[in-house]
Amino acid sequence: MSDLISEYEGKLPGIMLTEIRENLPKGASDSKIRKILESAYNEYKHARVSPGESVGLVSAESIGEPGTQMTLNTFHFAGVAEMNVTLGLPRIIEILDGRKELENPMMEIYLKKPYAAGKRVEELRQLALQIKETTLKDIAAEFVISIADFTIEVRLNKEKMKEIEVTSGKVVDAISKQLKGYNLRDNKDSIILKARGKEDSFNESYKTKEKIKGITIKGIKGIKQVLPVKREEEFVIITAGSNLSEVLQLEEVDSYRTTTNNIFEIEQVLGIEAARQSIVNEIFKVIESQGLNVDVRHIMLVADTMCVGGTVKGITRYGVVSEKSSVLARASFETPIKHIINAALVGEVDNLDSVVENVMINQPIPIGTGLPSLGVKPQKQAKEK
Amino acid sequence: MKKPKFKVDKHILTPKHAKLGEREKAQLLEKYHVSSKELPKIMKTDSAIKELGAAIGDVIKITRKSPTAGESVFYRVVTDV
Amino acid sequence: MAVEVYLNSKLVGTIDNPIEFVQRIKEERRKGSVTNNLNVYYKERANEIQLESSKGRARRPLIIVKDGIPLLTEKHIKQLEKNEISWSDLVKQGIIEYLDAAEEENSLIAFFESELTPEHTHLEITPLAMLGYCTSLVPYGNFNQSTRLNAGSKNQKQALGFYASNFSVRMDMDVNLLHYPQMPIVNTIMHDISDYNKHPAGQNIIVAIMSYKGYNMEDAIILNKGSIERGFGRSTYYRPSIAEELRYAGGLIDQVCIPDKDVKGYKTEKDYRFLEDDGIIYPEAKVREGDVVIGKTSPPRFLSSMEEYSLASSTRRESSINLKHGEEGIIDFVLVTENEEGNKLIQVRVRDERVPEIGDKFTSRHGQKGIVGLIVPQSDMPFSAHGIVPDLIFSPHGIPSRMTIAHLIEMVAGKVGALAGRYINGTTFDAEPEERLRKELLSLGFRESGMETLYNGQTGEQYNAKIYIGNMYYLKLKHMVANKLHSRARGPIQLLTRQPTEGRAKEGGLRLGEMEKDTFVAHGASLLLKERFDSDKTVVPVCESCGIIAIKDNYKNKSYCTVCGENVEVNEIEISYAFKLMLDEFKSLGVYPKLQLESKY
Repeated sequence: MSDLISEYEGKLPGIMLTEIRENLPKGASDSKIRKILESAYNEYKHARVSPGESVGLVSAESIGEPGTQMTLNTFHFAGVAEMNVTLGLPRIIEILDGRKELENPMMEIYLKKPYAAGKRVEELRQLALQIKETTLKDIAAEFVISIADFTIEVRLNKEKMKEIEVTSGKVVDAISKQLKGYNLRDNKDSIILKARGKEDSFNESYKTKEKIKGITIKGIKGIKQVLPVKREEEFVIITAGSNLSEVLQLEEVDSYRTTTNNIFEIEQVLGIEAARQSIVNEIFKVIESQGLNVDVRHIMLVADTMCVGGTVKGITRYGVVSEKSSVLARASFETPIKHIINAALVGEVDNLDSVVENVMINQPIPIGTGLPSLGVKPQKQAKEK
Repeated sequence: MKKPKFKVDKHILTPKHAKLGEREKAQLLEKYHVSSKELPKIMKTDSAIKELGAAIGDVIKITRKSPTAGESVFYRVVTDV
Repeated sequence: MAVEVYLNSKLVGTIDNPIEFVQRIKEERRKGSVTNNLNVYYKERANEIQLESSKGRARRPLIIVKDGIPLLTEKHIKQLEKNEISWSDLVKQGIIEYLDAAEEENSLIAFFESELTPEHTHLEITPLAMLGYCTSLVPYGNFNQSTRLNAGSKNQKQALGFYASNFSVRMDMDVNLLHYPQMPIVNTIMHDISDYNKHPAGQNIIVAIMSYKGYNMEDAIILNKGSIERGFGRSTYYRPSIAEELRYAGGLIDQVCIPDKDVKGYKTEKDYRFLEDDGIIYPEAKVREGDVVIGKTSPPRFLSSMEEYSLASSTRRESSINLKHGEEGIIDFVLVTENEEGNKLIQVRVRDERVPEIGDKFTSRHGQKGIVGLIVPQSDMPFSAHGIVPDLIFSPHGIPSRMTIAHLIEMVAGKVGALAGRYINGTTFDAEPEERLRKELLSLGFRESGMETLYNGQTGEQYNAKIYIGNMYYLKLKHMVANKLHSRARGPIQLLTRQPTEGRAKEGGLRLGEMEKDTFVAHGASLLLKERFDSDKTVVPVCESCGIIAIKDNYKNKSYCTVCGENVEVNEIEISYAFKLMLDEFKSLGVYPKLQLESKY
C-alpha cells in the first residue's frame, strides 16, 4: 500500500499524501487505493493555477479588500497596561513598507527548560533585570557641571542602584567603555568626569553631559520594558524594544524559539528565508486577529516578492517598484517626471513586456488570453515552374 | 557563562539550506529554461549560508515547511550585489 | 493654589477662591450689573477660570434652578400668555440665562421638571430645544435612532413643496413645485411656530407595511396607480433659458431674431419653427431637445486671416439658445426686459409636468427613503374589508436594523387623526402618548394594534397575516429619474485627449477607472480590456529610422518624416490618442521618445 502512495511522491504534494495515508480505510484493496490516488491527482491537476493567471493582482485585491475592513486604531491588547502593540492596518503598512524603525518593536523570549517551568522564580526576575536596559539617566539623581574646573559630577541615586544591583565601580567601567577622552574618578556616591587634554568650554561639557545620559549601564541596549507572562504552561518574557542578536547570546534563553517582530533584525541575524517566513507570520497574525480570513497563499506571494532580491525590500517606490525594468511602469506609479528624465539621460530602453505599459499603449496585455501568441507556419511556396 | 554557539539553521524560522553541486545546478537551469541570473537571489553574507561556504554563482536549495504543500523547495543563487 | 483667570484668553490675574469668584460673577450677571454676554467657566483640572465675552459663540437659553426649584413660575407663564412681560424681561430678571459650551460643562441641566434635584443648576426650557429646525419637524423623534433623525432632517431639506406664492412671476433656476401639498396630520409644535402650512412639502397617504411580489426590496416602495392618477406626488419642473444681447468692441451687438439662412452655423429650418417674428418662442409651445427657444445671431469673431478675403460684415454667427439633451416641456412664460447695462434680456421658462414614475425618490420623515420599484393598478392592490386600498406599500425589512420606531407610531397616530378628524401633536419628548392613541383607535372601530385584515387584490384571497396599515406623511424628493437617466453609445469627445466627454450635460461616457481595469486584468480578459480602452484609438505613421511620429499626406498619398526626409520607410501603428499625447509631452520636456517597431507576426 505504501509503495503505491510513494509512486505519487512527485505528483501530489506531500501534505496530501500524508492525509491520504492517514485516512485510508483498513483493508482497502490495491485497485481501490489506486483509484483514490488517481482521482486525487486529477482533482489536484484541476485545482492548480493555470499559466497566465494574474496571481499578483488577485493577491493584491485579496489582501486589499479585507484591509478596508480593518480598524485603524490600536485596540484590544488583552490586559497589560503600558505595553502598546501596533495592530490592524498600520501594522500591515509597517511590514509591507519594509520599515527598519518600528513603532512598537517587541520580542518574545522563550526560556530554557528549568526557567520556563517557573521553578526558579528568583532567577527569572534576575534575568528580567539583566535584560532590561538601564541608562545612566535612570540611576543618576543629578548632573552638576562645575564651571570652575569644567568637570561633570554625576550624583548617583543609591536606591535605584541597589534595585538593579550595580555598584559605582561597574558604572565607572561602563562609562569608560563608551566615553573616550575623559578621566573618571569614583567617589562612591558620585562620579566625577574631567576632560583629558585641554580645558574645553561650557558648551562642550553640556554636550557631553547630554551624551552620557544615554550610556547603557546594565542590560541589553534597546530593551525598554520587560514583562514575564505565562503562556500555555511556560513562562515567556515579552519585551518592548528589540535586540535579537544580543538576546540570543544569553544562556538562559532558548534561542531557537525566540522571535522578534522586527523583520529587519531577523534578516540580519537569521537570514533572508527566515525573514520571509516571519513576514508571512506577522501579516497572517494581524489579519487573523481582526477576524478576517485571507488565504495564506496571497501573503506568501507578497512575502516572496519582497524577498526575491536577497534583501527585504518594501513595496514602496524605493523598494520593489524601483526594480521594475520598465520606465513607463515606474513612471506611472509615483514621481513620473523624475523617472522619465533619469531614463532619458541614460538612454533606457523599455521593452513593453508587462501589464502597465501595454495598457498605456492600448495593446493586448500579456496575461490570461493575451499570453499565448499564434504561431504561423509559412506555407511551402507553390513551385512556379 | 557563554553557551555553545548559536546555530542559525536550528531556529524555528529558518528552513534547511543546502548547496547544489555543478551537475544538479545544470539540471535545474535546464528544467526551468532559465539562466542563473534569473533565479531569486541570496546574499553571500546571509547568516543562514555562512556555514556552507558558498561562492558567488552557487545555487542554494532551500526546503521550506509550507502550510499549503507540506514541504516546498525553493532555489536561490548566491550574489553579492 | 492660585487659580489663573483669563478674560477672552488673555491672562488678567490670579485668585485663591475660585468657587466663590465664579458664584459672584454669575450673581452679578443675573442681576444685570455685568453684561449678559459674559460666560464663566472654572476648569478644575487646569486650575483656570475662563471668562468669555467674544462674539461668535453658540449659546442657548436655559431656566435657572435654585435648590431644585426653577425660577420660572406659573405666574410668569400666565404673564407671558397675556403679553404682560416679554422674553428680554425674563432674561433681565435673572430667570433665564444664556450658557455657552464652556459654561455648560460646569452645570447640571435637567430635562424635565420632574427630575429636578437640589444639585441641578438649570432646567431646559423644552427638551425639544436641543434639536435644530428640521429635526424638530420629525414627529415622535425620541423614538428614533439618532442617525436616522439626522438622515430624516437631511431628506426633508431635499423635498419638493411650495417655496413661494409668487412663483409664477419669478425666474428661478431649477424649480420644483408640488401640485397638492398638505399639512401633515401628525405634526409638531415646530410646524405651528414656523408657519409650515404656508409652505408644506408633502402629502398624507395610506401606507401598508408588507412585501408585495418582491418589488419593494432594498428600500424600494410600491405606488398605487390610482393614487398617482389622482395627483399623488405630482410636481412641475420649471427651468428658464436666458439670452442677452451682448455688446462687443466696435459697436457690434448680438441680435435676437430669426437667423437668416446664410448665417454661419445655421441649423435646419425645422429647429426654428416655433420662433415668432421677434425671434422668441411663444408660450404654450411644446418643445423638445434641440428646439430653439430664442433665436440669436452674433457678429463674426475677428480671425486675422479671414478679414482680407471675405465680406466679413455680413456673415454673422449663429448663437441661438436651444434646449439641451434630455430636456423637454411646454413654454410657460416669456420675459422680455433690459439688464443693468441697457441690453435686451430675454428669459424663457419651460415647464414640465413630472408624474411619479419608476425611479423617483420618496421618503418619510424618518430617514426611510426609497425609490419607486413598481406602480400597481388600483385593482391589483390589496384591499381591506372597508374597501381601503393603500397608496404606498413599504417593505418591513427597512425597520429592524434602522430602528425607526417613530415611523410605526406615526402610522397609528395618522390613522387616529384621519379617522377622528383632528391633527395629532407628535412633538419630540412631548407627544400624545401611544397608549392613549391606541385606545382612541379602538373606540373608532379599528384594532388597537393598527393591523387590519387585507385581501389579495388579484385573487381575492384573504392574507393569512394581519397587515399593519396606517396614515403617514410622505415627501417627494428632488432626485427624479428624468433628471438622471443617461446613456451613450457614441458621442462628443474632448478636444485635447479625443476621449469621450464627462458628465450627463455633455453626453459623457462613464469612466472605466484604474480599479475597474484591475478587474479585467484579474480575469485575464486581455483583449476585452484592449477593446474597452479603444475609445480614442488613432492610426499614426512612424518613421522607421528615427522612431518618431511622421507625416502622411493623404492627398498626395505619400508619407515622409520631418527629420529624415522623403526616402524613409514609414509604418503605421494603431495607438490610443492619449499615448500619442504623452509622446508629444515627452518631446516638450526635451526627451526623445524613440519608438522601435516590430512586426506582430
